Amino acid sequence: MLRVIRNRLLQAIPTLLVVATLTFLLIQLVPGNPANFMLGPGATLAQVHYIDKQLGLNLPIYTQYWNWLSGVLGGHLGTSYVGHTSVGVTLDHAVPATMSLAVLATVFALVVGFTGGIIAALRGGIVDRLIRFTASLGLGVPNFWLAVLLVYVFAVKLALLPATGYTSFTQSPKAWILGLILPVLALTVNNTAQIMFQARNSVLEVLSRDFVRTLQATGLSRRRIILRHIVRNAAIPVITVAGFVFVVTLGGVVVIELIFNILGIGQVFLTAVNEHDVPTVQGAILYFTLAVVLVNLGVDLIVAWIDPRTRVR
Amino acid sequence: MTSGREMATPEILSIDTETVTANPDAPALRRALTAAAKHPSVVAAALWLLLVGLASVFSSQLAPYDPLAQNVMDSYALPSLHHLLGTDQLGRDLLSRLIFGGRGILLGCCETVAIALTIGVPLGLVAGYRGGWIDSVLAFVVNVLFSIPGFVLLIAVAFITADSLPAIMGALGVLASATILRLVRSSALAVRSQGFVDYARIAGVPLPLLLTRHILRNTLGTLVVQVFYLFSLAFVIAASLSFLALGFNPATPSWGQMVFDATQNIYLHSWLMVPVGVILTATVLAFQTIGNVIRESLPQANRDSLLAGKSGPIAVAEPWDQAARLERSGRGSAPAPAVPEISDDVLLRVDGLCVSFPRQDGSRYNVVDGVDLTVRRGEMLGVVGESGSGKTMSALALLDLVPRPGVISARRFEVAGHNVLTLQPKERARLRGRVVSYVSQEPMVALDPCFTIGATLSEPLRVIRGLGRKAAHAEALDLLRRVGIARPEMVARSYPHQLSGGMAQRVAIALALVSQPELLIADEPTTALDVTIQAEILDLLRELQSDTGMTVVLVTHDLGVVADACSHVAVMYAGQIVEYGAASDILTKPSHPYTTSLMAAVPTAGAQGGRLQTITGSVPSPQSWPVGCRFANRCPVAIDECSAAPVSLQVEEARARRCIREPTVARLARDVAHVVRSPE
Repeated sequence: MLRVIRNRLLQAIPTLLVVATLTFLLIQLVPGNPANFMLGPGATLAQVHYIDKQLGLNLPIYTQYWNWLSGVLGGHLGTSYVGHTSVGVTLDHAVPATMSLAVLATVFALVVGFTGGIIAALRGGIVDRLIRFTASLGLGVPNFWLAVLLVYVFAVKLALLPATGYTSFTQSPKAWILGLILPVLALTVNNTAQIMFQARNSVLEVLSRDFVRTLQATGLSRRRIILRHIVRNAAIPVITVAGFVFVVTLGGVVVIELIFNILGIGQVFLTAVNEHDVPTVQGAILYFTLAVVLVNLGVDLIVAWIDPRTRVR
Repeated sequence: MTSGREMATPEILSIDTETVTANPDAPALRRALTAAAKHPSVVAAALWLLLVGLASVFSSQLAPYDPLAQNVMDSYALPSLHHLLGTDQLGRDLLSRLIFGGRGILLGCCETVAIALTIGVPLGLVAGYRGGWIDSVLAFVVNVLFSIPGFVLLIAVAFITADSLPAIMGALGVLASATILRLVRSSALAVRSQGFVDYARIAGVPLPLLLTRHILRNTLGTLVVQVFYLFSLAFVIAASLSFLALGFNPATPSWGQMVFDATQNIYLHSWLMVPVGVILTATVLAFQTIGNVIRESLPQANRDSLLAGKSGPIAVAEPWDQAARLERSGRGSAPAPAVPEISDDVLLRVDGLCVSFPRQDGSRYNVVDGVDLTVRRGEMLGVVGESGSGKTMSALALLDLVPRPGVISARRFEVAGHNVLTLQPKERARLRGRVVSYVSQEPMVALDPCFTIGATLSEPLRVIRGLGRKAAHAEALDLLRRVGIARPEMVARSYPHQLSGGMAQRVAIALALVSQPELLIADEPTTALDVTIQAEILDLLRELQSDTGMTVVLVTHDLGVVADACSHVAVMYAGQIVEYGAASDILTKPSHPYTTSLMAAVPTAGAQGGRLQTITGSVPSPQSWPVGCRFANRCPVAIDECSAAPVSLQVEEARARRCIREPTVARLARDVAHVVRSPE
């Protein structure tokens, strides 16, 4: 298992490097000069040159790349073009909100979706159809639409929960969780449905495997076989899908943060995009990528832990 | 049927690896797609998509108003005859805006899917088929694509390209091609190792043709499913972008933008949310539904659950099938049961055992049809027959483990003093392992792949026999030693996939012995093994049996195995026992033409150079069993009378046979048997 962890870590590093480089190159494709954007249309050539020099934009691209990469490796993501604050600091402030959203949404989806899928597969009949119908609806509802509906019902009409904002956990755990209920719900409904379908299919597939019969023949109870063997085997593809779902959730976060006015990485990113704040855009993409790579790594390790056959490489 | 029985590919490449390893033939795929296309929810979904598509193409002709025409005097109108869905904050007609608002999103989806397929399919084929460095490079590329936070990247692309929708959706297509690539790659990999591809290559089929014709066809079903999922994903993303006003011109209506408008007015004019919400939800639902239904109709998706229900198949005294019931009452005149009355040394006694399955119309048909068996303690009974004879189902019925929706029934069913018919499902389940145990046909899939052998053996030792952790481990090692494993510690630490077939079967036998059963049911325990290993496993069973005095029911299609190991034999054909008796007796003097033909089909070293005889035709399917003798149409000595009425099991001393011809005539079957070769 230690060997597996080491191998996966070694695989993750080049991936992260390649993605970081791609991000850098991508941003170079932005038409126009950031200096022009910052100074507005009335800028003189001298002003533009001055800004260019200040930002290092007059250097050859590989020098810029090297400066940026060495900065990133040293933990310096640069200074925002707009607020002239450290990009790293801004993003670090935004991380807890975004992670709270994405992690809670994924965990909820995993717990509820997996349970629902197991029940649907084992019970069959009307229960199965009911769960699948509900999940289908959940799959169809766009999260941004659902978010608005939830705000309308629970914040406006019933006035039970706050409509917007984020309180950090350290400030008030209660306000933290209350503020997260609606955005997490809006984010998680699609995910839950997706995991539910995957879980149902995996359980059905596992149920048809010969070892289920063998285990029953040894005299183990149905309950035990389900909980210890069927769920474990079915979890392998479910965990993989949960990883995908997490990545999709990170995208949803951008929209949901906007609707609920939560200052997370998504908001920082969107604002930076609108303001052509290149270092912040790059930094935010890097943070998102890091999250994805870490989750993929986690998924790989969990799968390797559950399924010994995947430990070969 | 046996998909996924091969060892799983070492790395999990795709969620669907499991399903693509199957090799469904093209007609089966076509059948599945046709069946899916007729499914009511698919018809509804397809009609909806057609409607939405047509509305987007012919929006100018269909829309009652100009979607941009403002009329501030008539803003926030609720649905009326004038404005069927009402108007928005600027008095623009909502219906017209909806009709125009899907065009960009749907076109974008098509672009994404087209690009994903164009990139993913060819590269996936090449990666899977060629392997080597191309595969490694592509695997890395796929890894990178999977590590990119998709939506965030799309926003960045919007930023770079100044909101170009084609560029954004194209980028999504590139990202999504990774999924397609993985899928196609794993199926190409699975197909590559199959014989027909080698054959086609040797036959000189050009590579591109080979790849598309033979490999792509095998993955087509899963690919179609994936395309619908991709459509749905692209749709949601495009709508989200339009909600964020990215990639969509604010001047032209689009569905996401309409949701945004609605959010601005949610407090006072919540109706605005409704029409666009319905459209978005219904469209995603349509894509997903079609994908799901096709996925479920694919041949590899329909496999039966092997887990007995909570209530389990219920054993009732009377058989289900009316026809079968009549037949058995016709048999009422038959003399005493096949074997002597029950006594202390009888371990298993079943009379009139039936296993039935439901037909489409709800009526039931039997696959095991009135089997009577009596097994004494310490006996080794061979149950012999071709595939389709019902021998495996009979064996599973003895364990109360018939796959759902099968139902067991019997007139009498007693094991080790327990009257199974009066037991509650839970009590019946308690007999498994402790009284009756089971060894299956395919050892490689009979063990849970997630647990070490030691853990697998220890679990029932601890749960059922109540041993402590250490004692269970010691006992597990002891069991491994008893089944002839030389290095039990090492095997106990191994996982099933690390064992050879023969080794795995020894472990499976050890597992069957865990709870010290009185009766071991072995279902073709040697069929999946090499010939040399077969003999070893058979020796092991015989040894265990003579050591422990355990009773064994050995299901096999191999008369050689019976001759080697069994004291008694029951020959089954089309759900019935056709001949029963002591093995030595039956094998030297078979008296049923079917037994005779089976024996003639056994290749023997001493045979005098003739051609190997096979029985022509095949076992009739349970749904089309004839009224009379079920073997009559394949029997070389059948006469008209044979097919006229049900034939009962006649008992003579310690033997029984189901045939109206004289034993001497029946024995002739061997000499007149057709010498036509046919597979099985």
